[in-house]
Amino acid sequence: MLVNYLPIVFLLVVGVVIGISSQLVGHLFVRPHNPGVEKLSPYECGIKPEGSTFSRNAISYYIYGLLFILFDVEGLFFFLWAVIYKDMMWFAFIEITFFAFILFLGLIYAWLKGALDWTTEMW
Amino acid sequence: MLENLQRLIQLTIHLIVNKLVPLTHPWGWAFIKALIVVSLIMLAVTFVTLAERKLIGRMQIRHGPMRTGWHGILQPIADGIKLLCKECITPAEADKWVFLMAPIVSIAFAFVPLAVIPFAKTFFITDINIGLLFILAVSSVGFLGNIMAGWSSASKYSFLGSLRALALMISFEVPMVMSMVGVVVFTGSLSMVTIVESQAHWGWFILSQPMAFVIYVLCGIAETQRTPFDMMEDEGSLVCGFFTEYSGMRFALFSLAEYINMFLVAILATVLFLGGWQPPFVSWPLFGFLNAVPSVFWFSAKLLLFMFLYIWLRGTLPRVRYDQLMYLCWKILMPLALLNLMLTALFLASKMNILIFYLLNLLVVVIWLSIYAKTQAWVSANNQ
Repeated sequence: MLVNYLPIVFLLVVGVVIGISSQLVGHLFVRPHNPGVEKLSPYECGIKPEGSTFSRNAISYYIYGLLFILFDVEGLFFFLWAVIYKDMMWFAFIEITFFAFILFLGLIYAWLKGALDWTTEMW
Repeated sequence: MLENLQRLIQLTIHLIVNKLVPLTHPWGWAFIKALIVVSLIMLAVTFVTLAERKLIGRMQIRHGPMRTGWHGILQPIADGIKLLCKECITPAEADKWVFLMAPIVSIAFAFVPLAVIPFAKTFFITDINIGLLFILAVSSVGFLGNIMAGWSSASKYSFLGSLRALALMISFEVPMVMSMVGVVVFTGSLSMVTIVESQAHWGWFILSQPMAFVIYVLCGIAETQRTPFDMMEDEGSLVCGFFTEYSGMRFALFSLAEYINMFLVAILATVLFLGGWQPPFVSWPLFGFLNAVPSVFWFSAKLLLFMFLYIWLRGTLPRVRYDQLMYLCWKILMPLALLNLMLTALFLASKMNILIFYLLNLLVVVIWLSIYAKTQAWVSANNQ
């Protein structure tokens, strides 16, 4: 039923209104506003900021991101399977064993390749 | 004069009955329920922050806030007023609009998942048949606020903090989802209301899914970035994580969203594993009188117990190193969650005794942990 989804929009609206209004009230009425060069510079523990913000980073973050996409999408298939599991029992069990086994092999492959290890030397 | 007053009263009644009747329409009622839930959650958040400071104070043998009101009871209100009156700084190099939007995105999507939670026997804002999936999807959108904040601040600490937090959150999402599937296998439905109701038949799922519960709790703590796993505001190495550059009300919005997310994880633990609004020992006739207590009491009691667990862990445990945390996620929790799923499917298909199921669970955990220990020993031997 699509109608059941309408209250979700209410909550979204309430959240956005809270977010905007609490900033706006402070901005219009109470809070001070006197910026300065020192105040507006990025915080680096009190010393002058050094170099560019977007410098080189560990690639491992992105590797984890890739792995996440793989495994999360496959996690979604598990939901579909779980909903109908009790109607199919053994057939579904054998099917999902194959699926999980392949998923598991993928994890082991990533593991052996060193994608799960936190090193900066490998790439 | 009297006649005028009478007409005024009549007009008011007419207005209330004929113009405000849409409030009794299901949508109007849902809107009111949404407002009730949001305000109650905000109230709960303010006082949980106070409870956290008091409890952690006690755990560290001090008093916590004592000056504002009786035993510091007005402290959250004082904090709120202070944050409202503080200057909001937008750094010169920041991407201004993204910087402004980030806390709003965070807070808006923190509220949305509450729409499908059954807080009491008859009190839920709406019941959709993909409730659990919806919660997972929407609570992930909240991460977007973190990235926006970290990227737009143009500060190294913010950027690193958001990268770290994001990699951690998405990693722990995977075992978390897998542990939830274990519950869905039992219920055969994703609707939160059905999940709670089916626990009258199956018993609380913490009893039939102990491994999934442990995995869920660990992942939940990592998702909300609480202390043993709080990589995003690791004060020692990153100043305050992705909201380093935020001050005043914007900072307050971020921490509000963070606390609401904590509540969400606690609520999900209650609904999925601890029986939701159902009283304990529900199937024993001896404890039938517990049904007389309003169901919202049981819900909030379990919720607050879980929140206490959060605070307790924060007061007790030191922070885990980042790479070890990632290993915990990918090399321990993720395979165990998969194996737990297989075992649950086997349990349902073969109708085995629950004690054998527990034994198998224990066996799987022990075997996997010893394999993991072997591989780690092998890796460190090869590195030297």
